[in-house]
Amino acid sequence: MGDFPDSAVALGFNDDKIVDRGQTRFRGNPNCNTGPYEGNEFLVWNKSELLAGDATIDTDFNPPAEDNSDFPIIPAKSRSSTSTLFHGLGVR
Amino acid sequence: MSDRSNSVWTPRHIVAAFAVVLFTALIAAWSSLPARAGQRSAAPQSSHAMQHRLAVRTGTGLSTRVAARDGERWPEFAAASGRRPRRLSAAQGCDRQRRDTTRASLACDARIKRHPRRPSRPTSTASHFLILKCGPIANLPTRKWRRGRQYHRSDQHRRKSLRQERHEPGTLSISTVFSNVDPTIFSSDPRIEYDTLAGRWYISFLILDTTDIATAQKWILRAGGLDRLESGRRLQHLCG
Repeated sequence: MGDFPDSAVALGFNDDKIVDRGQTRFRGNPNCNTGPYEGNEFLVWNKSELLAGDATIDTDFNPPAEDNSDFPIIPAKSRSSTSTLFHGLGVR
Repeated sequence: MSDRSNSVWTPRHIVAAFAVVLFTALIAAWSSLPARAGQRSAAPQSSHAMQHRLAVRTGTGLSTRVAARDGERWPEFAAASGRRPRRLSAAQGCDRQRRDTTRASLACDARIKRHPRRPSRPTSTASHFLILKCGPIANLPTRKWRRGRQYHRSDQHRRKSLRQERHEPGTLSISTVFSNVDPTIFSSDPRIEYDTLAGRWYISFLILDTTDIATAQKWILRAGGLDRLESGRRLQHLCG
């Protein structure tokens, strides 16, 4: 059994990266989002390679649990030029 | 004494004054060139090395390279914009402008080009990213003008010629864009984001590749666009 990125696909980006994130659970059965909470996971794409249509694209996959405190970590959508990809920690 | 002999501005003085003004203007123009060059060199560069900063990071990152699945290329903007634009009639220009307005609605009924090779249905052995190009530069102040018989458009990011290429994009419905998605298998709602830095749209959603939850892999379908949906391509990536 794998994990399932519930609340997935919140995109963030900056000058050189595009980031997916998910709040991941262990996969439940039959409903895959009903398993116990595992933590955040991130998938980072090399933006220039992706937009240029390169044959291969560098990625950096950070599997769960990046943070298992049940708080969502949301990548920021940068509005001005920056090579740092900021994340926000949501508290609920 | 005559009036002419009393005048301060003799022809010789006038010529001398004109020469001084001309020389001053030349010096001013010459001295401004390095300043302009300095401004250009100080422009932000986007070629920084990959830098990844997480608020909290407790796991292990896995760096991989994702290969294109079907080999379809995503043409670069610079190469595309270098093509010679096809001349448009006034009627064609109006029609294009009307369609551009429609694009801004962002409903994926917007200007999306049918990609030449539609990805096949997912197999149950791997997960993939489908990368498509789509979407206009919408929600940005746009100005259009016509120079000669060629239309131009400006926006916050760049100025480029509107061109009618050989592969004129058609209008696709969202069901066509996601036609390779099996409706019987779980998928999330698609998310559409606009990247103001790159001037591109991204569409992504999550889908499983089989109804068997015990063995299903996760899929994410994604589209990023410059100003239209052009060739689609699939990337292979195991997401979990």
